[in-house]
Amino acid sequence: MHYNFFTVIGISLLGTVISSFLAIIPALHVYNVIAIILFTFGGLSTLIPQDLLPYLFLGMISGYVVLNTITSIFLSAPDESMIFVVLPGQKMLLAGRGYEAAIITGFGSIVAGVFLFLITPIVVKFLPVIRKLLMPHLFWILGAVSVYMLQSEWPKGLERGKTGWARFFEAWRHLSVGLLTFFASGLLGFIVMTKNPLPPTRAFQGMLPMFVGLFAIPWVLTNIVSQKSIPPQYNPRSVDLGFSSVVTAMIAGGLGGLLAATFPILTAGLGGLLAGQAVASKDERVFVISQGVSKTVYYVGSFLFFFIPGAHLGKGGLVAMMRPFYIPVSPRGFYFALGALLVCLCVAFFLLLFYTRIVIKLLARISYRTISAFTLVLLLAIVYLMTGVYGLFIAAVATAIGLLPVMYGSRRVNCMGALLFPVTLNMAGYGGAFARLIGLG
Amino acid sequence: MDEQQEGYCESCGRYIGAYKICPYCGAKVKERLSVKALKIFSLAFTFIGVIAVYFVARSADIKKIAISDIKEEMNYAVVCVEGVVSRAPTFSKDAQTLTFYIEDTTGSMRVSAYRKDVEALKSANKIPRMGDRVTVCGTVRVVEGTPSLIVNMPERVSIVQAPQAGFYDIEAISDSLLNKIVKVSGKVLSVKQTTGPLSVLIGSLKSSSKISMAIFKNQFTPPELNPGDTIEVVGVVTKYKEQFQIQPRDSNSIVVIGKAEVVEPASAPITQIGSINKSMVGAKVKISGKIESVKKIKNGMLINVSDGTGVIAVLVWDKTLAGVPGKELIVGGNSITAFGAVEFYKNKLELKVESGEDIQVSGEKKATTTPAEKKAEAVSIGSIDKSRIDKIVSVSGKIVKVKDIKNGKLFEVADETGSIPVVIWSKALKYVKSPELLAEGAIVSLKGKVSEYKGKLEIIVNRGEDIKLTGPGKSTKPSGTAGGVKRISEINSSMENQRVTVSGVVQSVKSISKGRVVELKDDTGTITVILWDNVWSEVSEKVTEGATLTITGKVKIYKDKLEVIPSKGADIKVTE
Repeated sequence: MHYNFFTVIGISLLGTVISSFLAIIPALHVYNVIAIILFTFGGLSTLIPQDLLPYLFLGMISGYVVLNTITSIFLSAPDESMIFVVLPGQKMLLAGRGYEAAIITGFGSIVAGVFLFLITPIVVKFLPVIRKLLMPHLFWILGAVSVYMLQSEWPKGLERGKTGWARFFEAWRHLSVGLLTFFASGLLGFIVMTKNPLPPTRAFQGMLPMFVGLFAIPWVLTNIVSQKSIPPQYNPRSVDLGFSSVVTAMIAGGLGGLLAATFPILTAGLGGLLAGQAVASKDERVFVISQGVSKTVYYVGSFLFFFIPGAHLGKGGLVAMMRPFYIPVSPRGFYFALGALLVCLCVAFFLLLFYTRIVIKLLARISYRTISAFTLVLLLAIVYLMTGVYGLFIAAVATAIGLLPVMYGSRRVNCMGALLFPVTLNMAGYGGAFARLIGLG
Repeated sequence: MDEQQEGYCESCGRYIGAYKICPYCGAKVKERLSVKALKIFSLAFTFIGVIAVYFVARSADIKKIAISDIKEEMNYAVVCVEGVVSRAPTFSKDAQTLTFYIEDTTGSMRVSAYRKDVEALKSANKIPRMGDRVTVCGTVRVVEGTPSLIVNMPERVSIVQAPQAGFYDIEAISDSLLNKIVKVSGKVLSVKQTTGPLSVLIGSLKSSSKISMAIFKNQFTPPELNPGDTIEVVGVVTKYKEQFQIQPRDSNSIVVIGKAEVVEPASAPITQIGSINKSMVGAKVKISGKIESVKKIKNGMLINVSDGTGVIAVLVWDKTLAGVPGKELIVGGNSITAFGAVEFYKNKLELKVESGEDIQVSGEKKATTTPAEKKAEAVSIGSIDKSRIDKIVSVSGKIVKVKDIKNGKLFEVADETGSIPVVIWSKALKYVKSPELLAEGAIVSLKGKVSEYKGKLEIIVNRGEDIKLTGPGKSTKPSGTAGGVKRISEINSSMENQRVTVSGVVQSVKSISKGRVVELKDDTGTITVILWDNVWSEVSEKVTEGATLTITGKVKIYKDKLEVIPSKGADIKVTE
């Protein structure tokens, strides 16, 4: 690592600018783009030295995590399971306060940057120890997370059934759909992890079709069929936030995100769920900031910790993609990454202010469905390019599973069964036995 | 229906998404065709799709590939690899891991299995042995371009038993047998526990050829082996430092077919020196004869003994010599009786004596003092003047300054009358017991020749035994830290081939063709540490820039630069 800090900042900011264009395309994940860069364009090795590539991606992910706020608030319809607990961000959108929601979520990312800066010394010292202690117990911790997730569907039978039985079945519907989603995605995940029929040369993106199918395609399909329009949005001159609200959101979102950023399989969604539970009774703005903090700590933190030499704390899709190419050897590299991430988050926040106004203007002119249809085509093209026809087939099956919670009223987070189920089984040591049982061994 | 109304309750106007009954007012809402279609698709295709994926996966074969075909983009791919086990399996109890290496015609890779999969492999008797041809299926992991395979389907590990071992004479071992299983027999010449494996030197029964057998502790426990034992070994021929070696497949692969005869020194018959031949290597014999000459070697002496039928060198290490009664009689012309093991070293037979009591010397001649001892005159440093040039003097004093010079060290030694430079050449430093203690502040007694260099008088010390550390000294600076860890500045050319321990912070890690070059720095200096690939593969995760490490290794000089070379991963420890 012989580059100076300004070169690193320059490359990171380039990443932020690239992702600022990508992040406003709904459902297009930055990891997919990075995978294309790494494996299709040979890591841009002719343009960027290999040592600087992680900083480009750090900038990309910092930009993405701030700017995808726009698509998550303005371009997604709340599904029916959320009708009574509509995420405050989308509730604010429906009340014409989408701009405010986007800004305070983005502000949550800045708060997350400060949080990461503050906790880094603690993470470096204690997290490896805590992880070592908890790893042998992780299988039952993940099992408990799964049970918690499934139980959180209950009770939801609030519809007005005519008879007692009708109401009983209505109450069970959510739980049943949750269970079906969890186990169907879990089985699909187990098959994909155990014996993915994709060619070995496509293995680096073996999970791509499944995740695009479970989360991204149902999102755009819902947008296409919902025919929902966005009410007129207001541009407030200032956003009122109290210091204590920010601190509360930082602690709740930071801890939720940190948990997801450091422990296997836990993701931003689950981190957000935990953060949301912690501040559920607070002001809706605290909730929105906590979600911004949580997702940023998860996405950026999990990649930032990858730069700590010898600690092996990084996790997530990007770390998995980078590991074959790069091993951090210098603490200097980590300090550069920390500095670069703070700069990139700030720049991305200012881009968010700018882009949000543009998107509000564009949405008044361009059909919401047109954008979603374009995204659907783009997603299918990426899946085909990266994984071929078989990948499209996996994505179609995953889409059917991903639509279940949307169409039948349960939580999308149940689709995380795709990871929780096989990984819990493998960690408990029963993965092989289960594979043999179903004839995949 | 007006598009604006889609997803909203017709009765109360609230947004209700895909609900059929408004959860706010209870009004029935018409379900759109597109929503109905998605509902049917999602439910039906969930079942049909998962079943279809299952059958496709079940019927798909796991692809068998060559090791060199594994690239970064195959990270996490499930593949099968066929090859020969090139490094015997090792178990790590702490990590509950089984690790071995397989090799095909294109390359080699590490294979690991964890916990329950290890148990499953054990219970299915599928732990491979050196030289076994195996097919292993598992998940590919690529870290910094280096592939490895994780076995997570023990049932997909199959062992094609290794071909029957051919019987070869040790002399016949050549490159054509590399990585092949052979059966050899021979006599155990020596058994040495190195810092790595147990090294057993086997001599051919028919010729003077030798081959070493390496047995790693964590692989299996070998039967008890002693010099002189005749053994039969089935193992894989490998190469280490360009020398052939044999790696036994397991403990059953080493069979002791003849134990060395136990002979008591007192009752042993006298063997004529002329009758000692290579076939007796490892055997214990007693000889008697006249001492022809005595030669001092590093840490011991070689006594040439003749009995009229032949001459043989008797090797006596210093520690053994200390226990020889009347050792001052070991001079040419006196008689000697020695009992020891026959060894073959550098194409010569010799007798290695292991106990001082196994040597009896008689005669009238006594060892004379060395020229240095005879002529040495104890003087004060201040009294040394030009009149003493070329004379041997003995001085005592305190080391006040140490400087590295070419081929040795320059000390400034002072007593209350003055100070004088003292040159100790590397060849002499080699024989100093703890050269690292010759640091500033140490009190020493030394003998040497007075000479003049650039108009200045100095004392030249040529022999290790002429330097004595007479006390701990009032060191201004400790010469080493606890636990035998040396300061980097203390490492010098006189320590070549010695094992030292140093501690410091990693400044840089650079790739070289067969490993990594690490620059280690402490508060006294910087030294180069070479980690060959076999060591690097074990420690790559802890050797990072900024890491504080304690490294034990052999001192080597390469292109006039000192290097420390650890031989195994365990030699590198992270310092808290």
